[in-house]
Amino acid sequence: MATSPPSIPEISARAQTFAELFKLPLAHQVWRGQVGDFQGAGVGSSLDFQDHRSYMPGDDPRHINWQAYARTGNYSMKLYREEVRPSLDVVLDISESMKVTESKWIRALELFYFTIHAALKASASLSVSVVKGNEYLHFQSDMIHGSTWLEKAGQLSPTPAAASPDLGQVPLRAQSMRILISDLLFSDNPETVLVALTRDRGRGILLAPFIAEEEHPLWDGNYDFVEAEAGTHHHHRIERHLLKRYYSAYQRHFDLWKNLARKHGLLMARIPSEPDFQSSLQYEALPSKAIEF
Amino acid sequence: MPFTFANPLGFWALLGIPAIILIHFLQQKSTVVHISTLFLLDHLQHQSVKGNQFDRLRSSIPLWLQLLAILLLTWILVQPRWMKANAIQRIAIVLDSSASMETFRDNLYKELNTELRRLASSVSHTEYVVVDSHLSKQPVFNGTSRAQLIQALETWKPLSTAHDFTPALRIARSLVGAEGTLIMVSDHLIEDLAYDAQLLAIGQPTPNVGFAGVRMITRDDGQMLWKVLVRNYSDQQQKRSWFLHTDAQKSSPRPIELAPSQTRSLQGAFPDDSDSFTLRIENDAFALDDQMPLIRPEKKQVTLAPKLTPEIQPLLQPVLESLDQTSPPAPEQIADLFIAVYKPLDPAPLDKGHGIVFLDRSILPANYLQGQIYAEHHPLLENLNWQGLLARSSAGLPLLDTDTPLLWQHDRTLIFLRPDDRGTKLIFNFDLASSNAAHLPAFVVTIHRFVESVRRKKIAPSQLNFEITQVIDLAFDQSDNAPPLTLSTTINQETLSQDIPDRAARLRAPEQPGFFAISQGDTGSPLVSGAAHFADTREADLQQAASRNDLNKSETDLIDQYTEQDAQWQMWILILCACLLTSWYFVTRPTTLNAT
Repeated sequence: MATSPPSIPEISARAQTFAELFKLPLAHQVWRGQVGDFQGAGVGSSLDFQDHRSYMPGDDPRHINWQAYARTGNYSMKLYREEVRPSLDVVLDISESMKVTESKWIRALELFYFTIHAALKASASLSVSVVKGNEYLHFQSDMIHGSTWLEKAGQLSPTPAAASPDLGQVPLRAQSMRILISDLLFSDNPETVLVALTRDRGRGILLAPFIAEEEHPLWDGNYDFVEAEAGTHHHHRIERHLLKRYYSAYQRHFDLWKNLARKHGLLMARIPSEPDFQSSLQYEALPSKAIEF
Repeated sequence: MPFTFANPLGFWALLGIPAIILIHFLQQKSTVVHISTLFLLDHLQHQSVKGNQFDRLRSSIPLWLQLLAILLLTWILVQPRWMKANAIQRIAIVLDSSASMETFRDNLYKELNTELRRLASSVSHTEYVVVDSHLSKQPVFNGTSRAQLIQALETWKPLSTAHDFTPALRIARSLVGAEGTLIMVSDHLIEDLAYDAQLLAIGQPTPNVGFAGVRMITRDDGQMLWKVLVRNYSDQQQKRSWFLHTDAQKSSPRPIELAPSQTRSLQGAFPDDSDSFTLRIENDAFALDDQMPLIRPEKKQVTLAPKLTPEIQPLLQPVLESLDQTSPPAPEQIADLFIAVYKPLDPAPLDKGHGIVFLDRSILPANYLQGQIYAEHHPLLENLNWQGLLARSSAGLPLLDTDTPLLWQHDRTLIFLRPDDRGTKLIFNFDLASSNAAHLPAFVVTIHRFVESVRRKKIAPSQLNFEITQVIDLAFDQSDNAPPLTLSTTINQETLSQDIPDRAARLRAPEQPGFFAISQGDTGSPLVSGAAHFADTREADLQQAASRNDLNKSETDLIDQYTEQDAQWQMWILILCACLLTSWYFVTRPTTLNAT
């Protein structure tokens, strides 16, 4: 379904406001990398005391605990926690199914910009990619705030119906936090996506925007379904019993995703598109701690 | 057990099936929806992924319920009726044997076959009997096969004139009983048929031109002329051609044009070389009156032997001269009819044989006879007025027991018949010369009639023109040892001879136009040579022919009579109501489902 291009600056500004209220769960992870605001995995030069140990040749003499030396006559070293910048790789699925309705697409962009602003607020090292089937684009963080990236992303080739994004090609930094914003409506096994998302000891969050028409359609009768991605027409007659089975299939599909995400240590939250942003986060994102206050 | 439908019009209800399917097609028009979860649907519904219209309708419960309701409604409306076991339907058909029916023979086969098939469809076993309305023949058909019935009709020939159908209807009704079906087949409309007969009229207005009559004229020079009438039985102008032909030659066709309902006459002299010929007019739908066989008429010669007194001779001479085809007998020949005078005062035995006897005036009677004059019912005096007769009282012949009185005045027999073993005498038992009888028309006519009766009884050759099936008053040898009569007919130049088995039966002219002769033994000349022509203008006029079928009522009665209604009809109505209610439920039930 063709949707009118959303106003990126507006959405970005709105998402920046959301980032003041909510944050990504970056604090629960031990990071390595450049100096930053988050506790690192190794010993650093922050003010946070971590441990004592005996002096070893080569240690920085500035960290010798002179008070202890005065009491004991032995050199001991004070160890302080390392503070590093978290690495955040944001991947946005821009397949046509994400744009099936304007509300869904706007909600996806809101999540996208929310993660960006939340990352920037946390001084995280940000990497942004958009993916569509087998193709992807990687953007510098300064390009994201304009609408240029959207135009470039629109030039990616169409994908087959219900094709899953090929995350294996998307550059994901080792041990980074990966956030995939996608409706997860793929017919392939979720394992493919999840394995690719957690490669190189990465952690991640799945944010899946959805609309009520997908979860709870009120079909009754004959329908000429237009597949959002391939644009093909499919005639179906929807009877009551078939609609019931669709509800069950939809439920099973996302139950599978949640179970496999849990297995791979990923957080997953489905975000409804119809309510406002704050309300939509209360649906699953906040309870699952995929997004925090 | 076979069944039939009392109301076939109920099948129109089946039109509801395409109507309902059409309505469902219109209702089931697809809604276009953009969808991102099609793979979930495809997994659920492997069949009919593209889904044609019929596939979609196939799963519609209301559709199937409504179609079932239509079928049930049709079943109820057509009123199926099951035939009773051992029911026998009897159908009697009276065929109008009027000649005009021949024109519509094809319609007869077609309509009768159609109607009988329809009537027979209501009953398992049907018996047919077909009779001719003229009742002059054996039944046309009696059996159970409709095909054989139609085949039997091909040999049936309607050649009669207009007649009363009531006797035939009475007999036909008696053959099939009160519960049987009686069908009167005619080519025109008949209202209020007797014996509960149903009319099947198969005619249609048809133009016809044909000969309507003939008259022979003898000119003063003795030459004989024929004069025939040609009539146009239609309301449109008609053109035809006509010609004359004998055995030897044929005239060139001549056109004749007749205005609507016009009658024209054709006249000509008899050919010199032939005593018979045939006039023909261009053929049309009614063929019987398209030919006019004619023969030069020649009556039997009657020989007269008058023995009159001078007083009576002048009175009778004009009468005797007016008699046709009479002549004096040859020498040594006995006259066919003698005319004599009887003298009461000098009585002598009367001669035997046919004769006319008058009283002789020996003494002039003084007084007139008094009293009322009245005539007996007898063909010789029929419709004659004798009231003006003035006769004097004179001596007369005494009346014998064997005499047949014809005319009375008080107690005096004025005219009577006296038979003997050789003939009959007509006796005028009053003094003719002193009466005014010679001035009365009744007197002349009575003598002419008596002479003609003698002529009819004479066994001698004659040539006459007849209408078809006309009764022939033929005198022939009726003794036990007499040879049989032989009828020879020449119709369309084909001659057929056959003996007449029953000499006591009435002799009739042939049923079809043509020449014929009746002879007895090898006497040389036939007793009568005739030409038969059709001249019934009522039958030739086909403008009133019409079609009408009154058998619909009969079919309804037959179904009621020979079948019984479907005992389950109440159950079908209940099922119909259940279908409609269930369909209504499926159509109007809420479609919202709660997602789990």
